[in-house]
Amino acid sequence: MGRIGNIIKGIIYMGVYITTTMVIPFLTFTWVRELSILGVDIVLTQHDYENIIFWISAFGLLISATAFFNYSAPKQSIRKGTFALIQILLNCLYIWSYKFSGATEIRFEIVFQIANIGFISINIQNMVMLYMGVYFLTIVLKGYDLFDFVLNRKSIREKRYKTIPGGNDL
Amino acid sequence: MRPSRAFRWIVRAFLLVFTLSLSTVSILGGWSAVTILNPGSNDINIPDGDYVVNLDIGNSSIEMIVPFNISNGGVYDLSDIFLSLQIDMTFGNTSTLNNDTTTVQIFDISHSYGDIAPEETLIANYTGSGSLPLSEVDRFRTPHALEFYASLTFRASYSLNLYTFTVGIIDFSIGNYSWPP
Repeated sequence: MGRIGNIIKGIIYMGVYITTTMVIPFLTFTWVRELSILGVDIVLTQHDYENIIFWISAFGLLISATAFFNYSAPKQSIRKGTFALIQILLNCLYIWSYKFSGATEIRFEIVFQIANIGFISINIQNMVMLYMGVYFLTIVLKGYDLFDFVLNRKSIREKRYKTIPGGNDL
Repeated sequence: MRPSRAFRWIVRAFLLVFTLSLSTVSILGGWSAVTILNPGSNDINIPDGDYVVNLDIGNSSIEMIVPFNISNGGVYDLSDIFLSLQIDMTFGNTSTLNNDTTTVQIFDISHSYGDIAPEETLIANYTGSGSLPLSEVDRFRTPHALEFYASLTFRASYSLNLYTFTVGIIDFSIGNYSWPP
């Protein structure tokens, strides 16, 4: 794939990451912010909502930017390995941000005719920890990639820039 | 293909299967949890019918029986089911200078009900008793000498314990009592 192709690939993946790390969570939390079930309002507190959206946006932007550099870099290059590792570390922080922003234990207040009559709380901390485990394995894989790309740099470059009999010099 | 790349592909395939399985469990579990919690589904009925409050003023005691049923309409076990009920009594306190309105907790009992397998229903009675501190009650308080408020907490885990949800209803009035003139 040529340079332009790599850049287009980078832009496409950046779009994918913007959608999955920012747009979908933003729409989800905005949708659940104020639900009404059988005439009873179920409301996510304003402070929780702002905190969650702030951290999702902050890490979502960083992940999307590194996704561009990762996917626009040549295959098996040190640059790709480095950005892939940075991206996965940012992914870990992104997942972790769900915990410290309060998104893993969301509390909705139940409001009936102005009065607060109770709450619904959903705790997904165990699930986030399991995803962190998966990301840890991915970090090992990306670290291994980077190590491999550095160690085998010569053979990777020879393969990438191999001469073709009868080809033209550029 | 270099052996190092082959090894990488094996680890990557394992990670892909692991991530896809986890995502499937998350989505299925999340959807099932929403289905169970949806009031329209009638999967959680607390109380299921009339609840019984036996107020024994003579013996200063209260007994409560709340029938309930919980159906697991999802795909995983509904586990660690926990139900807790507190009852507060509000009265005019004769031990204070102006018979100040005072609230005391007269009932605080929690029960665990284990797990419910998919497509099964737990039908049970929540029972408990408490005592009434009637010695300091202003019997002539208006409109009622005694007012009773309940708080209910229901908690359960779902999707291999990956989700835990809690529903709390706070201070809803369950009745009052006045001594005959």
